[in-house]
Amino acid sequence: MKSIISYRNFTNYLGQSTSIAPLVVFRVAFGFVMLFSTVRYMWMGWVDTQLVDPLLHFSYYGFDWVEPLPRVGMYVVFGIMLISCLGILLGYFYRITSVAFFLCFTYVELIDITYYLNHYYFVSIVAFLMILAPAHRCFSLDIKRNPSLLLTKVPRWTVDIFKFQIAIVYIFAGLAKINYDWLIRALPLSIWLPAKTSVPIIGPIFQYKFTAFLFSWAGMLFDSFIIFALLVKKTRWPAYIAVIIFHTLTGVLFQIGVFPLVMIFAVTIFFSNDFHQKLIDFVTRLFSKSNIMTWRNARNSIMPLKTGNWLAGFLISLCLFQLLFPWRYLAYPGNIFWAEEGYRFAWRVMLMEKAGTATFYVKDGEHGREGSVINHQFLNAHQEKQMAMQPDLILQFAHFLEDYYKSQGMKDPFVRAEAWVTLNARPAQLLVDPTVDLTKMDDTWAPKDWITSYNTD
Amino acid sequence: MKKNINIFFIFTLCLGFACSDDEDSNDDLGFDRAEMLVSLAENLIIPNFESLQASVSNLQVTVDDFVASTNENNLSSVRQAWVEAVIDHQHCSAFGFGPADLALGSYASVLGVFPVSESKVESALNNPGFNLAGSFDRDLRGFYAVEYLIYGNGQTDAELVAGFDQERKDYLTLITNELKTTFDGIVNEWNSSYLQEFIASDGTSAGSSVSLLYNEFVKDYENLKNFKVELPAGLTAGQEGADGTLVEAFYSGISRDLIVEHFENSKNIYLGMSRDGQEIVGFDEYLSSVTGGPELVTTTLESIDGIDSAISNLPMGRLSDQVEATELIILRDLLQDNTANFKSSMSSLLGISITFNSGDGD
Repeated sequence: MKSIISYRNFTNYLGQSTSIAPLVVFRVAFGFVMLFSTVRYMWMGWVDTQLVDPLLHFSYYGFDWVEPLPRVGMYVVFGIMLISCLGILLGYFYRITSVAFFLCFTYVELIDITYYLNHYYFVSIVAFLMILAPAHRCFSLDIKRNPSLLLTKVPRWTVDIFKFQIAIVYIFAGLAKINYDWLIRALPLSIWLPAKTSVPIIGPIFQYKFTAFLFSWAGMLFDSFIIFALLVKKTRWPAYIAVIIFHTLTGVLFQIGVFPLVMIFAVTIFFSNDFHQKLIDFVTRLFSKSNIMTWRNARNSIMPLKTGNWLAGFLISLCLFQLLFPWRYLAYPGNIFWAEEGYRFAWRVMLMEKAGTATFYVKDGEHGREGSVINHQFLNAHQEKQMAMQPDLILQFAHFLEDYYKSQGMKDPFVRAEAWVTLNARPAQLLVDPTVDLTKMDDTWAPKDWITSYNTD
Repeated sequence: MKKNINIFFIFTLCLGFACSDDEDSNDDLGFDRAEMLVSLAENLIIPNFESLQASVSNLQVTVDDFVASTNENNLSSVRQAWVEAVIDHQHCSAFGFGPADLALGSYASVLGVFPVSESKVESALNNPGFNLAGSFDRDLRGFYAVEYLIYGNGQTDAELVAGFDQERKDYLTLITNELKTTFDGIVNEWNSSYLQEFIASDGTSAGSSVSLLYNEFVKDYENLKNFKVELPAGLTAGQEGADGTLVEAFYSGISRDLIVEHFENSKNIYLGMSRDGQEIVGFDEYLSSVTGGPELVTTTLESIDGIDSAISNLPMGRLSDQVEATELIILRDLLQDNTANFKSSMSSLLGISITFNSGDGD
């Protein structure tokens, strides 16, 4: 039996062509949702409260060189982001605006890890893939400027890579839900739902434990299988309705920002070429007087299908990375939810209820007088909350405190943390060894032996 | 699709059986948050603010008398009225949301700041052009600026009265009036429109009444630990030693009483108790209704007992002279140990959102 996934097959596949329509609609949808998201972020005042005001920022591993700009600079970045969203939406100077959006968005995302969201990660990946895809080569202002750029057919991978990425999100999110707490104890939903009884109309059902079980199992099945239902033509429409219901419900129940909107729009890429073509034709007709698209006359302009080796290699690596990276947690001892080693960048969304109170004690190595730290003198409420339950952030804060008290004249600060953390309604336990001098510990890929082991009962 | 529906149906059925024999079924009785809000507002929050309003009004009356006729007798009435007001303040400081959330922050973070800056007070009262309403300084106004003026720092009562010139009288009147106006406004707003608004917002998301109340309750508790115990005792990182001048109510010397009253109010909110000791609906009842709640309540009650006895063991007399006392360290440690119960464990079990930042989601 010949291997189906041989390299030859892969390059053959890359060579196939398909309609540009789904890609174009995806571009418009992505530009629109990102525009909305950027406006919303600024409207909420988060540029100041999340990026400019905090005295310190928690960095991503390997990205501690990323710093926020002064206030004016941050607003300039957001200004550029707004313009690039418009550029993507309208397909205007797309080659530049798609790159600008990716850079601005990812830069802002990298400033502070306490604001980490899986959907920001998703947006960054998609924004990067948008740079590679010729999504502006039809139904765009770029085509109006230069009709010779018009394409009707593009290589299949430029559409399918987005489907792949969306599939990764759902399937990993589904797999992550297959665990004891989620399925057998309906946790954390049996904590979250009873807090939502004042939601209009459906509120009362959340007081029942049964509802939490129903939602837990339905959520797991939805995430695990929705992609397959979207891929098959017969089930596509019901699946899409399920997508809308599922994301609207989570959007109403939880404070998850624009994520539901992102997914509801992104998933439309699974619809047929024909569907997208009709959509474009319909909108084109609305604009027909100005005749933006000379589209009908150029039915057969096809993008050269030759895919360079470097691109093929890159795409394969990217896909492999996406498939493998979420599994890295298996290489760590201990409970993934407790130690969170390998937790991020793995599509573990709304998976646990975890909260902690971390008290830091700083001792001057010379005099040995120990005092505790008032966290909110350095951190905002959100940063403090996130830091208190994640070991690597506790470590970062300890190192910050070391530097701070050194600058205040301490010779050799000894910093330890007492972090009482509750996970899925279990009584709080110490997350890290409260006797360890954290200033002597470094953040690496290696397992952190100062994280306590989690005791479930 | 049909097959999927069948499979789903079977799953659902299994679940129905699975949870019918799961744990005690009174988990299914929902807790009425609106009832808790009504109970706390009508029996604790509003009466406490009304009491504070009355004692601040009385303070203003005594200040007027003292200004009109400055003698030791009237000074002693002002002090008595101040003590009553500042004790009432301990029973309101946790309610710094809604009407009590002033332009500069919760009222206690504006009018309850200590230590005051003696130099700022002196320069403000000697500055004819000083505009209190336009000032952003918190350490020259409020309860403890009044305290500084009426107790002085080290003078005898006779010296204080003799030195109480027109500038001091004007400034005392000015900052007392600010207190009076503020609490009149807060009580008025609670009684006119805010109560309805407070009860109606019975969700748990950020900005809901439960979230506001809970958030201020925790902050207020942490203020007790951080600023009334830890800092004076010199137990904050970077401090070289204990410092008696950092206690609350340094000039009057009633710091210990205020710690007692402050924790009393924390307990009233948590345990559901009016200030005069009547049982009402509090957070413990809410907690008892949720998964993992009863265990947390048990743990917390033990902690509260420990803190109660640590407080009663505090040395009598001026706390500022005894900030090295081990009893203070013991109290700090116990307050610290209980912080996680109040802060993270409780909000986690109740599903209360504290900030507006979006959480992680699918």
